Amino acid sequence: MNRITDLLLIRRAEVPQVTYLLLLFIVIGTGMALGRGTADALFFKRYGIEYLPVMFVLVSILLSLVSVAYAAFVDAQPAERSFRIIFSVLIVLLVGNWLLIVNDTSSLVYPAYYLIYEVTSELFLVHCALYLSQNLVQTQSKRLTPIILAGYQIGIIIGGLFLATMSKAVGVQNMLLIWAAMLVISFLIVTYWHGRHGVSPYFRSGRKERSRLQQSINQVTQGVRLMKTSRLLRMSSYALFFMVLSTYILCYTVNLIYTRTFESEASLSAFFGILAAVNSSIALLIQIFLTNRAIRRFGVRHINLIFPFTSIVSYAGLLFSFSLPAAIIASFNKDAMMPAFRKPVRTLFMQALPMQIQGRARAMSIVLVLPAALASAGVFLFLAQRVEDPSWFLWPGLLAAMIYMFFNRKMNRAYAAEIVSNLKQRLFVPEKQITALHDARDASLLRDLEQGVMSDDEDLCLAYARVLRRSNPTCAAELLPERMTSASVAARDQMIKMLQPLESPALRTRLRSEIGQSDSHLDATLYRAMIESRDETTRDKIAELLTHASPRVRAAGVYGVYRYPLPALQDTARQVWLDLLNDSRAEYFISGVELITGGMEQHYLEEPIFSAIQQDLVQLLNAKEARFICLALEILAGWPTDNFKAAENSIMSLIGHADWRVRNDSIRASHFLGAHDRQSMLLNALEDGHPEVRATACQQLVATQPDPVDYFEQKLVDHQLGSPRARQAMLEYLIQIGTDSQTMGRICLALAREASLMSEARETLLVAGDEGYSGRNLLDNTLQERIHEFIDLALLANQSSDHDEEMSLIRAGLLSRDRRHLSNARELLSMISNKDLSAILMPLFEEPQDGHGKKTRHFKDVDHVLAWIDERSDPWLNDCFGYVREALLTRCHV
Amino acid sequence: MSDLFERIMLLKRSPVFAEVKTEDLRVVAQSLEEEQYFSGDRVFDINEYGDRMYIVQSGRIGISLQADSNKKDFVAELEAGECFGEMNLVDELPRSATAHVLEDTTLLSLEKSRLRGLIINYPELSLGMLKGMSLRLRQVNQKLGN
Repeated sequence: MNRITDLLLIRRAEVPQVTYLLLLFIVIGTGMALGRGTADALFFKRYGIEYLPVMFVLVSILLSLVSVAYAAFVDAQPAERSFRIIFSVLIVLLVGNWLLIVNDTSSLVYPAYYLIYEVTSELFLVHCALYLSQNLVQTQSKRLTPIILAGYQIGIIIGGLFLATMSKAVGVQNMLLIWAAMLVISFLIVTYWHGRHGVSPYFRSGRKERSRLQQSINQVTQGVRLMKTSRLLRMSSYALFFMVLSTYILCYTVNLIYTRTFESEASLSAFFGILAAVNSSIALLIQIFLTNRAIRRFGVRHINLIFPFTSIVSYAGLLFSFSLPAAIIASFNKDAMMPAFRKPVRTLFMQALPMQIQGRARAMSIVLVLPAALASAGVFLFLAQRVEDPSWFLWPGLLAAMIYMFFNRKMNRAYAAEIVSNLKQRLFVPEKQITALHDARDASLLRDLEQGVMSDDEDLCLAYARVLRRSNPTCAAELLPERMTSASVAARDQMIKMLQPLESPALRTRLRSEIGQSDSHLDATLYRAMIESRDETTRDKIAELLTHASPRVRAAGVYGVYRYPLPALQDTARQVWLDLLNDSRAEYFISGVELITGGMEQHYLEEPIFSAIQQDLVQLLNAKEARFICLALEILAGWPTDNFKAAENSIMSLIGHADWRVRNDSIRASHFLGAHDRQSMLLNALEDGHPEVRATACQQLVATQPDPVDYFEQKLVDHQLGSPRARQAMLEYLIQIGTDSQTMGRICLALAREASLMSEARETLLVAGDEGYSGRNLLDNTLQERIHEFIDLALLANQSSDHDEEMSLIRAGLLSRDRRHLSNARELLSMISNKDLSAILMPLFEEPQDGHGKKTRHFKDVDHVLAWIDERSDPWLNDCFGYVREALLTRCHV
Repeated sequence: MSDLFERIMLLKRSPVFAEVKTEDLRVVAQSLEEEQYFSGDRVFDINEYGDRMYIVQSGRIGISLQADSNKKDFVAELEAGECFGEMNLVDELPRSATAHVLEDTTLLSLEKSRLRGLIINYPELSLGMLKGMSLRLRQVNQKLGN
């Protein structure tokens, strides 16, 4: 059993569902074979094939009417309920028809029966596809649709054989009751399954506010309107039109030959039975062993061209020889190639459309396109049959087949675009316009920012103020002073810093009036802002500031002396600064130290200030508060020499600090370390838990390398260095500087291979089984995470060299965890121009093989996997490996 | 070491942390505190303000929605690996249930302020948590829909 399901690419969990669908389609198929054979035989022999073109026209009208009724229900309720209604109506019609035939009421009952069959067959075709799409996602569809449709073919074979052997014994007309019985069984199967499993999982209810008839008409008109926006729907509708035209001309042609060849109703019916059984057997074999694999191997777009091609060949055959063998070949095309290739492919194409329009698209196809094509075929054949020469309808049929091929090619091109558009509607993909926030000229955006600044929540206010300051400084200069009147001292302090430089005299006057209104901390900030803008009134107060009680205001005075500059006060200022630095009270020496970061960089190198600062910095590096440590590190990052032993030791220990800002600033100040230690520290920092720290480490690494691109390429491709997050930091740098596409291509493939190896490693572990201990579970979890991360990185790397938007959508689809988006993303991936990447990644999008299916190539056994993991330079994966090893050893000892 | 990894796997089973990468869960696991309770104790009462979530390491906890916290009418019984009180990590609302200790139990608790500190220093943690909560919300919506 397992081998069969593996061979058919059916997952364990899918077995019950596939069994159900297979059974249902077998029963439906059996009934349809009985219907096909009997409807044709009874009509051709008891009514006359010359009326077939008229029947095509009538079928087209009836199909339209029935389809309107169908469209009224199809989107409003689950497909299984529609199935039950269709089955019930058909049972009544078939029994009624049988009664009329056995009572020999009227010869019109034969065209009526023919019409019932034709309409039913089209309705089933459309509805089965809809039913499958409500029960399977696209990845499942690709694997399972051919198998499920094979069930339909098995039914056709069973029905065909029954017809071939039992027509004479049972009587052709009594076959109607057997078909009705098949429909009763189908009804019961559907009711039983959905009674147990609920409604179809991917059913989305349509709108119900209008009357059903109005709604169904709307659906069709909406379908027509959707044709304007959806190129795929447009092309597939044109393709469908010419396919129907070509197929019905072919159908008429072969039936003409058969009716002329077989004289009695029973022999014709038996021949139809044999033909159906043989064609369906071949179709079945193709569907089981070829279609599925062909779609996976060559892609849905190539397979989409097979049926148009074989249709052209069939016409060529009939033109060459208008005989029974050519008719049988044409029937093979119609009855075997069409179900084997055309139907599964069309279902997949329809599934590329957004779910909410699939029902409308199908309704439009069946109400408009199909009947229009059928009516055209009928009218054309009605005119053409008056001429004895069959080439009168064969040549136009060939032309229709060629146009069908043409539109199928167009459809292929529209397919990828439709998936992109579908994903774009569903997923958020960040674009570059986010940066436009920093250039707020849009009135509504500006209004939002203004509202944010005036918010009562000060955190919110400051966040908005920062954006407004960057995007519209003039507006910020007007709004912030207004907001400051009701803000806390701390918030005012922040806003004053944002307002610098104070260009406007009015603003300066306003802020000057604030001095002395609150605490000395705010006063110091105000003085700094005034000095920064070289305010003349403040200049006269500098000497006063140098003797102020507050160390911060005093420091502002020192800054003023150097900033204006005021040479007469420089000696005093230097002394005040030195006193601040030498003061043991934190508030004092920090005020002195802060001067270094505020524009005094060129003045602190003079002794004895320089020595005093060094002592203070060592003290700050050992402080408990992160902001003091960061202050010291900030100064050390711009330190003029690389020789500061005390700082070197501190930096080595601060890289493990709990606060990310400290870690980040430690990296900035890493130039004190020796080349080897620095390199090692920076590479370790690439693994940090905070993305800013990783980015800083990356920037610092760049500064140490003569050729950073080559260096990172080596790390990413040759050394396979680091965890995915470390590699992401390197990759983002390479993308940011615009690295050439060849280099990015190599990196992209290396990352994809890593993902593939991780996947194989995981498969090997799964195959080995033995899931009973947490170490194994942890490793499995981690490997799964790594696979996703490496796939994402490979796509990110490819994003810079391939279509940016498509790559973003694939990445977003993959991250969404939604099976439909995932399946669309996979489909899109199969179509990207980087075929090497696609070939490596595609198998990784497959669902897991229940632990036994996939054979791995790289790893021999679990030990091989563990040894490989141990070799990775991925700290977390290595830790997990250590834990697994420990757990395994413990188990061995137990 | 193995204790840490086992805690990570416990965290991975809780809906709040299910979508957080194992790598990021290491710091969360390190912040968990072990608490011992005995049969008959109550971990917290309904309407009480709480500041932590709990994961059952061993033992059994009964969850009651009764307004009277002495009543033992359980809507759920939690065993090893299951978590409760997780919504208190993000909201400021009082407890919506009482947690009764049904047998001697060891809980691992995570305090809200610790988690906030971790989120600031390891921001990718919050992305995973958001994802986990969003998935849970979807599941609830789906259940309501059905």
